[in-house]
Amino acid sequence: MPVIEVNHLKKQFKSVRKQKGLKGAVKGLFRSEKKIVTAVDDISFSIERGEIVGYIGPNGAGKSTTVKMMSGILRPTSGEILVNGISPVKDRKAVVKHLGVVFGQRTQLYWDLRLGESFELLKRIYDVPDEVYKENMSMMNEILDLKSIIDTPVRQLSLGQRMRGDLAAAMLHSPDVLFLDEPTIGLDVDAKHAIRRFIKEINETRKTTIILTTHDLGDIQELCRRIIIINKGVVIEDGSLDELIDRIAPYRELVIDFYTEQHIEHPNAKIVSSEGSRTVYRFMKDEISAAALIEYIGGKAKIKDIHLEEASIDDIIRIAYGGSSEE
Amino acid sequence: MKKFKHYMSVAALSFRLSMQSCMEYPAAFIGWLISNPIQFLVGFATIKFVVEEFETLADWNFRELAFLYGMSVLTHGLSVIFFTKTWYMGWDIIHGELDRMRLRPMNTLFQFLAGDLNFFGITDLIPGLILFIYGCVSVDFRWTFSNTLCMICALIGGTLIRGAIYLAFGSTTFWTKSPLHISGFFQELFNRTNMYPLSMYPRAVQFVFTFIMPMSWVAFYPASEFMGKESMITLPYGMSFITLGLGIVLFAIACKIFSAGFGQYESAGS
Repeated sequence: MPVIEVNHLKKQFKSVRKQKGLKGAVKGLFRSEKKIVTAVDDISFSIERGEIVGYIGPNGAGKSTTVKMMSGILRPTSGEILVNGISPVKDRKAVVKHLGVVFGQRTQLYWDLRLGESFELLKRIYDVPDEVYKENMSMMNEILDLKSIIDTPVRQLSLGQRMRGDLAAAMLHSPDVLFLDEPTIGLDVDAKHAIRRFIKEINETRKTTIILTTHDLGDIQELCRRIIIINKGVVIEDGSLDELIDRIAPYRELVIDFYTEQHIEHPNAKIVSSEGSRTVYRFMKDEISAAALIEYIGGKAKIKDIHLEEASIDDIIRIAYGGSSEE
Repeated sequence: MKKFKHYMSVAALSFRLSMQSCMEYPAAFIGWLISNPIQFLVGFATIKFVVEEFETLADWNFRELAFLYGMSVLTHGLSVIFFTKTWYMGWDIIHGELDRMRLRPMNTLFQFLAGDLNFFGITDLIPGLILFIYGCVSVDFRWTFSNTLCMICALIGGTLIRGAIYLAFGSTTFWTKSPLHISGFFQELFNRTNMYPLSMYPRAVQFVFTFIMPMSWVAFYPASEFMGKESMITLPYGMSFITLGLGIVLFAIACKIFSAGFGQYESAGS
């Protein structure tokens, strides 16, 4: 049975169209134009236990809105969500009991409290037994190195420290599902690394199901076996990263530097560019191997240097988004 | 029962932590501790001045007015501790600050109120208590069983009426999506309708604050029963119970409005 099931999810917001300037503002007092904004149009997917799924899409695609609906913050306009077989619309409390949620843009910790006090309060709220709490805390301490920051008020923590605190807070009640909405946003390389290690570790040791929203393609490459790409409120891709690369960009590029300018052709390779002594060939992986191509070209002219390029994940995502990104 | 114990234990810890976090801002605490009592002293001096000019105010002498004012300020102090959150809730709603409450497996209204008690309110409560004691002593209030019971009902009721109005109007932001900075206005109104005897105002005004916006029940009606005063409504006994009943009913309605509003909650941005 899937841990998360989302069927034809839709969310619309009503907003008032504001007119420009003072004149518009006065006019708006008497006649306001209501506009319906569709943040999530029609999204369906299902996620099995223990998966790490990258939920990606350009700004304004509806990622956070989906996460907020799955975690019971927002009520869907239509469609169905089941988390552990329970609908967050019908029984929010039962769903969030086994759910951990982290928003990178907004802390769930208590601003004026020391980090440790926030944890204590959460322990009380989720009614976590002492042994479980101790066990979880020692594990979080180990992965996230909380000892040095546990007595610091949350408002004084750096972004990276705060994110570590937020992740630990989300894990205190041993949730079996974790939603991470841009957990690495604005973090430096070290902090990002720590957070990725954390995600990997809890997924491996606890089989926690994780949905990860991110713009950081490194996160995806390192963590996600499966990605769901959405744009304009609909799912445009859902599958493993390798599959996606094979489908969207099943080619590789061979860059060859000759000693002199050359024009060597091969029926299975297309010349993408030829500038001076450098020629770039594009070929399909299943039509010809890189070795065979190099051998063929090497037989015709002397090669100085070669390297092989695969479509980068950036390219894949950009192609998948269809170049439409709204900021 | 287990649920109740759980909620109480969370409330108790929240209160302790709120006390601690107030101590994080000692300068602010001292600031309030000095400025809040001044506000009430000025109110008190005004009453004294008015009575010295007119001897009595709608048949109330200075000591009786001090008693009325004491009750009013004490309920204000209590409401500041429990309901300050509602004064700024419009801002919280607009900025998506209520997300956190949806993520915790507890009642949202409980988290909203108990999760963030305002310990700074003690700077309103202390002068309130002093004025209240002063008022009780000056009218020689008798702490018989019946009087004590009535007084407790009146104080709880008065606090709830204040809280209910703040909560109900604060919740409108769920629909309007723009914060209504109206709590100051209501505090002033509560103050005006309970600092002086309502019976000194024109009948139409009395009617409004008795039946339409029942703010005078906070302190004026119970106090007039204790002092044996005639007013728009005169009962031989039981004003305090009406105050308590009204407080409970209004607060229940406000809770319903809050819950209905939360159904409309739209969080904020990403």
